Amino acid sequence: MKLILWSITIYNMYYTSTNREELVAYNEAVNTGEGYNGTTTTWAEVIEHPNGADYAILKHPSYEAELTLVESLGGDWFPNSLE
Amino acid sequence: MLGLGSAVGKSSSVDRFEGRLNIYPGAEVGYSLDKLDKDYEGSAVRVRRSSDNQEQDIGFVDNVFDSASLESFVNEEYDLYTSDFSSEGGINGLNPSSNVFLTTNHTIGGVADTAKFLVAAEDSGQAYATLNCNKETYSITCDIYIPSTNSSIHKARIWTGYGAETFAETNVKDEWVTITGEVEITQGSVIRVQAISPTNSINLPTLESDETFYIKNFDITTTATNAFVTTWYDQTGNYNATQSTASLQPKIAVQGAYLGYIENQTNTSNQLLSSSYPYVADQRFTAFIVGQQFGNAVFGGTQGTSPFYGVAQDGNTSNASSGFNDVSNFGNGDSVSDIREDVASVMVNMALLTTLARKGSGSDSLLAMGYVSASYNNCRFKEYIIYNNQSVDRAEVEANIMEHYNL
Repeated sequence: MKLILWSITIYNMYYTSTNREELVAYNEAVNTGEGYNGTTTTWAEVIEHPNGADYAILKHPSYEAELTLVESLGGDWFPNSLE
Repeated sequence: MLGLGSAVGKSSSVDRFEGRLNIYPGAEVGYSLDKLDKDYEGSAVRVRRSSDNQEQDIGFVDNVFDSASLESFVNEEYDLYTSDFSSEGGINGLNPSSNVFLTTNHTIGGVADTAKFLVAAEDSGQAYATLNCNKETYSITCDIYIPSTNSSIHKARIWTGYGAETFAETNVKDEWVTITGEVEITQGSVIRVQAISPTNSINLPTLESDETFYIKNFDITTTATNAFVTTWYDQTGNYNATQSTASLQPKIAVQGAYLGYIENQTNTSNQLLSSSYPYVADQRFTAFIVGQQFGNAVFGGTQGTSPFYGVAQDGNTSNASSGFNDVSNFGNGDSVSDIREDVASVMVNMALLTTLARKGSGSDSLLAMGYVSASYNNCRFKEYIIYNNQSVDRAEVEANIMEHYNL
């Protein structure tokens, strides 16, 4: 019997959609699967693009969906700066 | 006031302990990882561990944060998955892809084994099974057997399916090999058990009819997870700071180890703890913040939505010579020269930031610890105390805090 060892690290991803309800449904699926209790009630918040047409939500590591997956959200999603 | 001695705010003796809220009474809110009030009987924080989403209050030992209890909580072993490969489809969470068939009770060398990956004949493309990963750190062990009769399956690999990283694989033929590894997945992936071609590709050529590899004793355990703060208790007993959204909760332990502070997650979305401390128009307040920035950061806002008036520091030091990025971020965007005072330089190290500010407009909660948009969320906290107006001797409180934290 032989023994082999390795290690890795992975980072954040987001689902995007023009249909906000799809992302809400994704979040609800995560909530159901995770069974949050206590103070924690939900996985993530849907992020609205300033153009009013696009939406995004942080992908949960454990839950896949047939949505557009992006590695990060560009600065156009967060135009606010300290004013 | 400092005549109480150098032990002020420290825990040299439970009986003699005097917290900052005892020595300097009248605070409107007092959040700290250490005890601020000798009479406070509550906890410091409530945390959620990521292994199973259980929550627990963490208190104090000898008036300082009970890090041992926190680490004990987040290091409890949690069995995520143990294979028996005894059911069709799903297989206790190990979901086969459409082009992988799983059989049970197969015999190798006269010994009954409970698992076999039989890759479809005349199939091409990828052959893998997946296991969802929703935790951070895993210990994975499994036994793999690859027959030398295979012509197209050279290796069996365990990896995430995203990126190119492999954390366990074997190309040993005709004997069972135990592969094991620790894997940290801070966000987003699945674990795949995948067949690899002789050219080291996940894309297999057309297979012979009996191409197989076998897997058994697939065990996944998490023993060191992350912990996040759901509640930072107000030791004045008035206004707890909370975050009910899991992905927005600041970290307090990573891979089973206490950080020593509360740190906002570094996503590009909202990250904060919000206090129920009420908004009162034009009320002035003095805040004492023990924290650190490791990028663009705001250490508190007078409200939770834009404009995010607060105590701001920016990673761009060209605007931070005074310790703050822009005075317009302070004191509600008014001309604040009359009300703005501060100490602390750029907080590249843990430092004390003292502010005198004024709530001017808006209707949300006073404290949003961490900015609520873009990347202004790279901050760490140990303590956050607020007094109304200048109801406390600022210099004395500063001296007390700096001594306590060795700043």
